[in-house]
Amino acid sequence: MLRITLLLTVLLSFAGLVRADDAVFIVNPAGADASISAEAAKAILLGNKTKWDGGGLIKLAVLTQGEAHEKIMHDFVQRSADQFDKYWKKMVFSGKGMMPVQAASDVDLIAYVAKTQGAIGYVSAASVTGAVKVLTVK
Amino acid sequence: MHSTKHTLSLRPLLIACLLAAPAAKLAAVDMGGVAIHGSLSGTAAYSDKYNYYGSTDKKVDVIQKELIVNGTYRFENGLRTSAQLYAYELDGYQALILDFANLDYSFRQEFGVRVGRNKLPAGFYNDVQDLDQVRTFASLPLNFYTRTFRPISASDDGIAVYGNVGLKQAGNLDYQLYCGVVNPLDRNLPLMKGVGATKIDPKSTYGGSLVWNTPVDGLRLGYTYQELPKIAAVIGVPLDIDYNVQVVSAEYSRGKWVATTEFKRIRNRSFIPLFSSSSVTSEDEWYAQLTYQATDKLGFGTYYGRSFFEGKGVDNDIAVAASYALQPWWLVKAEIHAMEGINNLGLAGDTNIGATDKRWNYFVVKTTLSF
Repeated sequence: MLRITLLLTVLLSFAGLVRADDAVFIVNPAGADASISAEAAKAILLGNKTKWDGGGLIKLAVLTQGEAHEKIMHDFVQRSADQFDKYWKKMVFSGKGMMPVQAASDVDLIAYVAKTQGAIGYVSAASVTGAVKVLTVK
Repeated sequence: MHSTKHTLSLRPLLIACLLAAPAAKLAAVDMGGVAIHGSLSGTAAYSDKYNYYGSTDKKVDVIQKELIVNGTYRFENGLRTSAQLYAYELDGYQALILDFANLDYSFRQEFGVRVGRNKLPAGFYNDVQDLDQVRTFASLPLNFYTRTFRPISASDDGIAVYGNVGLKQAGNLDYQLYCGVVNPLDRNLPLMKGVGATKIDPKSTYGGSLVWNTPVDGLRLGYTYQELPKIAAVIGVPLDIDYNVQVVSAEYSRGKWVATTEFKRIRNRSFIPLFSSSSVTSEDEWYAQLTYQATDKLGFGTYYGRSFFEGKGVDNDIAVAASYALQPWWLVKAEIHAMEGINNLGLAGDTNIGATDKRWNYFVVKTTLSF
């Protein structure tokens, strides 16, 4: 019985580990909501939602490349990375939005989110550090 | 309307930007929190029969040069301000335009207000018709987004309210309602020459757009309405024109493919006080387009466009295009148009005296630097 329990514990532990290619939303520890819905995440990524429910400006940062970027684009905005880039250019050049902060790497994006109140971004789950908070998407 | 006849040549400005762009590493520039973006384009064309947006009859002509500089700043209270300059030369006509300049405040996702000079929606792409970086083709469908109509359709000075409304399982809805004033058209515009007008003063405009982002991934449907009432014009004789445009749009993107179709109905109600006579004319236009972004650098596209001119017949346009990014900031494009019909020649403002042959071809190459 003990061996079965140990085996189950080990298996569950592995199941609980985050896969390296998983992407997570991260926020600045101050000034962001504790959790958001998938619809709200999409609205933030597309520039439709610009304020946190708890108050304060949303400051969006996006990756420009990589698996985490592709995954978030696919899962939350149903666009390719190229289409997402063109979407934001349309917003900027029609006077409807301000281009999100663009980061070339997880390290750069985490550094921006860590120092910017109200900031939100996404990175590979394996890259997350204690300087930022992982945002739960319900 | 917003076109100011620019007496100085744009050439030095364009050359300066061309030289400065690589020096700026062709990335967006951040100047104290103001994000600066822009682009610089040149377009050349050739036709085997006619002049079309330039002296293209059996020769290559650089028909269009464009420069866009855009700045955006968002204050900590959420108020956002943005402005865009658009300098262009089309078919020999030069202008430097304040394309938009507005203050924008989003109270919540469902409601925001934009005040100032605003871009106007008319179909999915009217408000980004100058933005070469986001499309495969050198130009939007020629019959549908007629370049010479830009002074009427691009922007107004007024107020717009907008928002994004969630529909739960049914997706969400983007809306925009606007009203404002439109400045008189410069009498040297190609459009004025094309329709034989010495005065077109639109005065005011109002309208709106709805875009339904459906629950089907990649599918969005749209409708736009624009009214320009009581345009004071002189086309031979003084007349008043009520100009009405409605557009129905559908776009479906899946992976590297994007399929688009749009239908437009234009109604002109004209009243000539001198003769106390009135008339109504109409134009219906539509196109279907398919693009494929094969790689990050290479894209292909094709479209079929058709225009119905009341009492004048039909124009068809079959186009094939390719786009290649030499660098992330440097695009080159080439496209071929097989044309049938000559009604659109006049709207482009080109003189083709004695034109009767309805079958002709048009070739376009374009290059754009962006930052």
